[in-house]
This record gives sequence, C-alpha cells and structure tokens, in this order.
Amino acid sequence: MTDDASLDAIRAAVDTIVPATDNLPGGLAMGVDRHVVDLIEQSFPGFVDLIAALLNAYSMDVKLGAPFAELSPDERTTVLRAMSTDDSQDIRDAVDALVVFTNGGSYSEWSGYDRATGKISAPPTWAHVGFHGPVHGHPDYREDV
Amino acid sequence: MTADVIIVGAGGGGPVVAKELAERGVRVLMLEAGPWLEPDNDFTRLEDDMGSLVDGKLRWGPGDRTKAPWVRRRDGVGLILQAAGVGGTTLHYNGICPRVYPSAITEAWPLTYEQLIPHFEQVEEFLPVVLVDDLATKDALFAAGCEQIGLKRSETRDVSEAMWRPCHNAILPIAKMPVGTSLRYPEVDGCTMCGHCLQGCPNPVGAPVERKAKRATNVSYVPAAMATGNCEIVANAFATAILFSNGDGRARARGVRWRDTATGDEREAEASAVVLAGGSIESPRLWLNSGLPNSQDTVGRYLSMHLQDFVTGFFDREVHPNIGQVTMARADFPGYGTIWSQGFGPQSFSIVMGGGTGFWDDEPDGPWDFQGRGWGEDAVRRMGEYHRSLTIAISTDDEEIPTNRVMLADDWPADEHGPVPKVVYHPTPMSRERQDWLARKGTEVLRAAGAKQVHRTKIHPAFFTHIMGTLRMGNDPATSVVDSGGEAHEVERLFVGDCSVLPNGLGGPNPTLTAQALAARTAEQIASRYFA
Repeated sequence: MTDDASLDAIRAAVDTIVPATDNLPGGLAMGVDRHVVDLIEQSFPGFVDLIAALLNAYSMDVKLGAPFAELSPDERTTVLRAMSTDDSQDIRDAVDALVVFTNGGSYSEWSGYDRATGKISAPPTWAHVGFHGPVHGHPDYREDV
Repeated sequence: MTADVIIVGAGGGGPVVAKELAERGVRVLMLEAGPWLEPDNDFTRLEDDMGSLVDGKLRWGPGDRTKAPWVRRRDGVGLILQAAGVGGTTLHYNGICPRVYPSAITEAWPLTYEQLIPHFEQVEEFLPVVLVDDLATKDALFAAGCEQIGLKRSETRDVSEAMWRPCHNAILPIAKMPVGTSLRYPEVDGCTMCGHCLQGCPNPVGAPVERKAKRATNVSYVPAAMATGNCEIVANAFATAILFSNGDGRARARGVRWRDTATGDEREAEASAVVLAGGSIESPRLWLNSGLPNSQDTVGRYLSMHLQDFVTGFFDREVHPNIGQVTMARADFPGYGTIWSQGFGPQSFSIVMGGGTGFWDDEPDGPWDFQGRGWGEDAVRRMGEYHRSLTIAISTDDEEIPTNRVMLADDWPADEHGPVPKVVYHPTPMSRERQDWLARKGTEVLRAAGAKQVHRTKIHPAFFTHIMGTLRMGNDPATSVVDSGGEAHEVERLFVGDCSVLPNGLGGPNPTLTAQALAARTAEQIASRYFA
C-alpha cells in the first residue's frame, strides 16, 4: 500500500510539471496523479514510495526540513532539475517517469477515455493544443505551402 | 502440426522468413511473445491506449495489460520503443522503407549492395513499398525548407549523395477521397492520411486485414504465410530456450522451449531448423539464456541504434502535425545520417518537448533557440502551439563498437523467462558529432521553411527505436555471429532473421526494409541448405 505522504509528493510533482493555467485545468484536476501512480506501481511495485523518498531527500538541499509537497513551484523545479542531472541513471529515470507519465496522462486521451466501454470525451488539453482526436481519414490533408 | 522450421518472433523479420519458406512447402511454426491483435477491433487510434510503454496495447509486455511490462535493464539507454505482438515493432513503425546507403556496405558486410538489390526488390514489390505521390502540409513544409537550403529532390532508392526525397513507404497509395465519401472500404481503398500510423493502422475502416493501409507484417507477410496452409502461429508464447545438441564438432539446433504467458505452461517442439527473430535485444538474450556456444564472446555486441534526436520548429501558420502519413518526406546525408518530418499526436509531442538534455531557460549550445526539458506554465503554453509545429527526427550514422551491447543483467532478478537483458549504449565522439551536425542541418531546414523558433530535444540517454546488430552477419567469426546466409557460425541449423544480423547502422536509414530483405535472403538459404 502506497504511503499517503508519498502520494502527496507525486501530486506535487504532477502539479509542477502540468500546472493549472488560465482557462486550462492542470494535471491534478484531470486526475493524472492517479495515472502516474498506477503506471509506476504496475511497472515496479513499491517504486512510488521510493521516488517520493528521493523527491523528499533532494528537497532537503533546497529547504531544510520541508518535504517536496511543501515546497513552492520554483523550489520543486529546482529539485526536479537537480535529480534530472544526477550521476545516477536510476535517479534521472525517476524524473523521466514523472515527466513522461504526467505529460502522457495530460495530453493523451487518458483522462477522458473509458477502456472498458470505449467511450471517449475529449480532454480539455486537446482544444488547447489544437488536436481533434482520432479520425478515419483526412481527405483535405494538404494546405498551400 | 509438426514443423520443419520454428521461428521465434513474429515481428518485422520472422513473418518474412515464414512466408518465403511456407510458399516453398516448408512447414513453419512461428512463436510470438505478445498477443495477436485485430486491427478493426483492437486498434483504437488513441495514443495512450495503444502506445503507453507500461500498459499500451503495443507495449513490450504480455497480452494481459494488467500485468507488468517485461524488464530491460539499461545503461546509457533511455526509452526503448519495441512492441510485442504479431507484427512486432512494425505495428507502430512509421512504415518508412529506405534502403541501406551503398556507402555503408563496408568490409564488415559479407554481401555487396548489388547482391542485396534483388531482395530489396522482392520485399518492395510484395509489401508494397510505394513512392508517395503527394505530401501532407507538414511534409510539404519540410520539403520547402530542404529546397531552400539547396537540397535537390530525388526519387531514387539508391542514395549516394545529399538530397531530399518524397518517402518510399510501406503504405498503400493515398486513397481517392472525394468530398462526402464515407472513408470506409470499399468506398476508399488505400491510405486515408489519418495520421495514426504510430497507433497501429486500422484504416480504411472495414477493409479486410490484407487491405489495411500501413503494411506492418500482421497485414502483409502474416496473411500471406497463413494462406499457404503451411504456417501455424502461436501467440502469447515466450521462447525461453533454444534446444540444441552438442555433436562431435559444431552444435546443432533441434527445437525451442516456450512459456505460455497466460497460463505459465511450458511447451517444447522440435524441428529441423530454428530461426531467431525476436529483435536485437531478445534474440541475443535468448541465445545467452540457452547456453548456446559463444566462444568468441561476439553474441550481443556491436549494438547500433542511430542515436536519434528531434528538432522542432514553431511557425506562424498551421502545420497539422497530426495529419497525413506520419512521415512523407526525408533528407539524406550519407556520412552523417538522415532526417525526416515526423508527425505525431500531442502525447508524443509533449514528450519530445519535455525530455532531453539541458533546460529551456539555459543558454542553447547550438543554433536552436532553446533545448532540452521544460515543464510548468511555460510548457503548457508551448504545448498550445502544437498545431503550428513541425518536428524533424534525426537518425544518425552511429559507429558500431563491440562495447555497445546486450548482455544478461547481473543487477536485477531474473523474470519468468530467465535472466533479463541489460542494454548498454554509449555513443562514440564521432557519433555525437554526426548527431550534432544533423541537428544543425535540421534546424537550417526548419528556419528556411519559415520556423520562428526552434527547439532541440537533445536526447540523452539514447532513445531506442532502431535497434540493430548484436548477432551480426559477417565472414569472420571473431567479429560476427552468423554467416552470409544467416546461419550461426557455431550452431548448425540455427538462423537469425531480424535486425540483429545488421553488421552496422546502415549509414542512418530506417532499418526495417534492409532487415526484411536479408530475412528473405536467409529464407532462401534455409530452403537451399536443408530443404532442397
């Protein structure tokens, strides 16, 4: 069972990578933290706690005694930057997992798709990026260049 | 059935060998570690559902998506994009089918370019490989940028100088789609330019499997092999050992043991010959886990992967990176590698923009405006420009060296299929120089096409999509594993029919066609050596 404090750290990471902005809900509002936790645990059971422990350990260098979830957005970015340039590939991979899974959950169909029924509602990010979703074809595939 | 030949892996190469042998009356059993999906029912065109590395339908893992993906340990290696399932990695490849550059046929090769040509033509005609007769907007922009910097247009398949080309793709010709068409077969027949090549092509809707537009092996070579009545395919069958006998001299392959990934049951079958075609990671892993001879310590070495990268331009106009065959134009630079326009959906785009070396607010180390990683509010805003972006993929002529390799991991527990593979890749300085050169050239193309800003991902560690070598073909057993006919130097009746046999990185071009041409040749060799 993943520790609640670990989930707080993952939520904070998701909120740092894809925050809410004007007119667009962030990753947290789309539930992407669940996606990140599920994918990490499916790949390597127990690794959510491990990644959260890493985030909190690196946070000590930024603000003594403060866990990652209690840092400001800029301070969290400092932590993620430090981890992503660490000598250890495993630590760099932890950041990659957070970034890839957070972006993947935010900009794909994930938040609006029910795998069991196949029903899909476009996630809010699609209108933001100018993506129309899946299609059968594009007869008008070329504009003048 | 009783098989004459067992093929391990139904990806890009195995089905080529299967079809060519089955048509000659040789009875084939083909094992596939992943599931056998149906395009109409299973291919949802959705990026995460199909492409998630953890639980996507085209992941490297068992058919039951609630189970963990299969583990690869990595050293200097980032994301590995490989698909399990009938069709293998061709399920999510772009379908780009260039030939090896003639200049890349070095002394490491046991064959000449001229010897390869009949096999290229054989595969190109069958798939078919088609010269695209029009470009989507993104590709037309790429082409305009190439023309602006002085690259000449060519339609040749045999590349010996710098040029740009409309692509030769293993995709049916663009369908006629008059206004008001239903976009369903048979009203449309051919490529509908939907942009979902990377999600496993399910279009045209309603088309029989054999008429799906992108010619992954599950819709091309597999149906042809099955139509002979001489080929049986067992999906969800993970090979765990090549069975062999130690005779008086050379070892001799005699069968395969595999595990049913759903039930856990183990089975064995014997045959007159065995073909390894599980890809450049699993084929050497299976070799090593089987205890097959490796007296020269050549198995797993000379791994090559094209040191890929991306540069992305942002324009004042619509680019539509999600429309059209994902790649319809390319530029070739023998001696350096190749670049092409890369279409994709927003999930892939977010990863291209969010990964890499350095950070967006650092000083860039080249002619691009920003590089590496970005996240937070700036990244969300930048994602809003997806529809005005053109990404160019970079595929480097990376040097093959013996220390880049696949080995058995000693720092991770074995899984249900034995010790797991460890993939080790550290590029040479020359490979890095060539990658940088191509990134600069790609940036030049983007700016010439009108890009207002350019981002370089600068991927590190390496991003694996073109995985080559590890059981390379050659005349010298000290530096190669199989002979020019694809048969192991040290194991009689054991052949290799996938990208593992490629002696080097082909100079940069996408490897599938060359591997398939060699697989077709190897099938001929199997037939002539043991089933004449």
